[in-house]
Amino acid sequence: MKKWSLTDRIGYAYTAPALAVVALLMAFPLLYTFMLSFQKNDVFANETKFVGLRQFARLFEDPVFVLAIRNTVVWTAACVAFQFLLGLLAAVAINQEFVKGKTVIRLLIMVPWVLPGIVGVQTWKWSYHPDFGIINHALKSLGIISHDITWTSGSSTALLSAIIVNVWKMFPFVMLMLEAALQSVPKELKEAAYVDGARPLRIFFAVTMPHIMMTSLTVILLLTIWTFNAFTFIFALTAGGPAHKSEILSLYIYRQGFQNLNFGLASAASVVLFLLTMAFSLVYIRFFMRKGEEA
Amino acid sequence: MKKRFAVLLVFALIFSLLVACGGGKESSNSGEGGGTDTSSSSTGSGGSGTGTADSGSSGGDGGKTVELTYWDGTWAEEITPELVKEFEAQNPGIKIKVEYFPWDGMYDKFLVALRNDNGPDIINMAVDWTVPFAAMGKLQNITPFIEQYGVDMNDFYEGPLKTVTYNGQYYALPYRSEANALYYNKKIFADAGLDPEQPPATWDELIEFSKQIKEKTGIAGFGQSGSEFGNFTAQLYYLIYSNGGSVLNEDYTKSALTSPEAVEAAQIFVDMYRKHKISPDSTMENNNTVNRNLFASEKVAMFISGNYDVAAVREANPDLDFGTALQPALAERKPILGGWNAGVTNTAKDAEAAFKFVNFLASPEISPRYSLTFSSRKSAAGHEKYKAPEFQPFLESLNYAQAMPPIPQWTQIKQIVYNHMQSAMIGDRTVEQALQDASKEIDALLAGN
Repeated sequence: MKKWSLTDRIGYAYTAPALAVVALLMAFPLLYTFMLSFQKNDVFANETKFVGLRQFARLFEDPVFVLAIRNTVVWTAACVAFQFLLGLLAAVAINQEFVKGKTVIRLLIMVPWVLPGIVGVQTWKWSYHPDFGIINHALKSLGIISHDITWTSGSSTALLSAIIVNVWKMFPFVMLMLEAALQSVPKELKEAAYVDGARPLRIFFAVTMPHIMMTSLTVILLLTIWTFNAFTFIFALTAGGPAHKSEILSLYIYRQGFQNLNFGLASAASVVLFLLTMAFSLVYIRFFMRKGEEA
Repeated sequence: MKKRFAVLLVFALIFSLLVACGGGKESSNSGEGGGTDTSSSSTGSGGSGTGTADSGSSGGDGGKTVELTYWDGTWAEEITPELVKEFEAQNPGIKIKVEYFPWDGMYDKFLVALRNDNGPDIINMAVDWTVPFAAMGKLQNITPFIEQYGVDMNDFYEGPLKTVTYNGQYYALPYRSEANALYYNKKIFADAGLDPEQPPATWDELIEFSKQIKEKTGIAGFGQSGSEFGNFTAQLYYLIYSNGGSVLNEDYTKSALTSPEAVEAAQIFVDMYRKHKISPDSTMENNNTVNRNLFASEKVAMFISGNYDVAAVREANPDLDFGTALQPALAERKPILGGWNAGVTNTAKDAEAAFKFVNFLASPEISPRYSLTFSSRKSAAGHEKYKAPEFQPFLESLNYAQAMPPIPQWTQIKQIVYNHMQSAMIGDRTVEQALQDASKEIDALLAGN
């Protein structure tokens, strides 16, 4: 047993409160949820029963749960892809030397991200509304559509309308992160490549991309985890509708837990969500980020 | 210098943390009088208050003064203190401490508290909650007190009485009752060539009038609620019950939604949106509050709601020329009864004193003042608050109003029906299929799975 030096002990004493908070607010609820997922526990039963994996079996028998998983994958993939692409575009654009008023542009682009989630979503929700909203009105005035589109309540458009709002909200974050990374690309390398005859696109892929690879991969990981767990957008915009077409896992958990008061089932679904996120993160970090470091 | 700054910063952070956590009582805002009702009418309308309570300390044993706690809703924060003062003046020796709860989550809080015998002495309950609470053994049987104090039970409307009766005994007194009625835009009627003084009396007429309105003016006829499970099922259930069907069988053990009357009614509901197209395109994302907004901005000619929306509509559009009428009938007319009851809990320190307060709230003099909608007392129907002509159809509806099955799974059943019927609304399933699937789930739920 290594003998704890005085510095060690002081160190642990200082971190002890923070560790206690983490244990209380993160470890304990996590473990409790795991325990709940093996029980039949809802507000009508007067005691809780241990039922093993039955809640998990119930989950996969529920077509809405399976649909929710599918929707969550589509939702995450689409959101992350477009958040990243739009953010990258914005970062590259604002990084060009000929752009004036960078501070003002940056400020304006930051607005979606800074706005409290609910506020932004409600604004979009009213804009989407066929009778009161400005989007349909504008599209009709421009002659692009002739009939109102029911954005948030149409089977084919509900998830899409939520994706648009999520991309709008998060791309400023991507832009911020990537802009910093872009600044770190040595100008001499780019100029050397230019002198050698490389076209701007080739310069971007050969010179710039490797330098922002680590940052990009981190950003994508963060976006994926956030989007996977995102709740506000779907809840406030479509409430999972119509008829569950835009329901994602986080909403499914909320419904089971807080509307149906079926805590056992909701916990089981939470465990599934946790495991999926964990699996993705582990695979991602091991394969992509290690490689990125070596590159 | 740097060190001093750092120390100062740390103190500032600690200080702000203490202030934030110390909190103290926020001043509670009183809820609007049932304005933004997003729940179905069968569970009462709540205000949008954010208040938290004075912590109800239940002291006062040992002799003369008894102190009772009463759990109320935040929408009553302006009226209840006044009533408590009057009661305490009339009843020296009884003190009432009131705690206010916002509508959101109220049922869950009450349920959990009662289950653990942590509840108050007197409790305010939506109509659907009383019998389940009584069945759990958490309410006092007040029939002896009713006899002792000679409370005239015939003065209560029939519907509300059923919601306080369990096994032939009374467990609470109703004080507030409400039912929905039809709002219609007189000007749009006139523009479409309809008589503005002749609102539709039958549901067929409602559909016909709406078609005419759509043809002549391009405006949608009726505001259907396609979203929000409470509003959706309120409209659907009205049609089912008025068509002679019902949601559950007689002893509340199985779903009755696959009966021909129920299927027919549900088909009418879906056809209104899909076939006749008399509701706006945005129906699937509209709840009843949006319908109210559409009505007030004259984008829809008719909608159905409680009397609490009269003021809201007037405020939104003072120039709106509208009228109210009984909900159009199908085979009959069965509006859903909403409202509130006051009861005594099984843990009440002094059941008789608690009953006195309940009786006070439900009396013909006090209940019209306490209720945001109408009093449950027939004798109070002539109260000056209810004189306005727009209120008459709502008052009359109370005579037909029927309470919903008072079982604890009722909210979940609404959600099941909503989930399946929504897919019928968007055309993914036929009405029969949706109701069959819903019935299977409901039967499983009621069997205790």
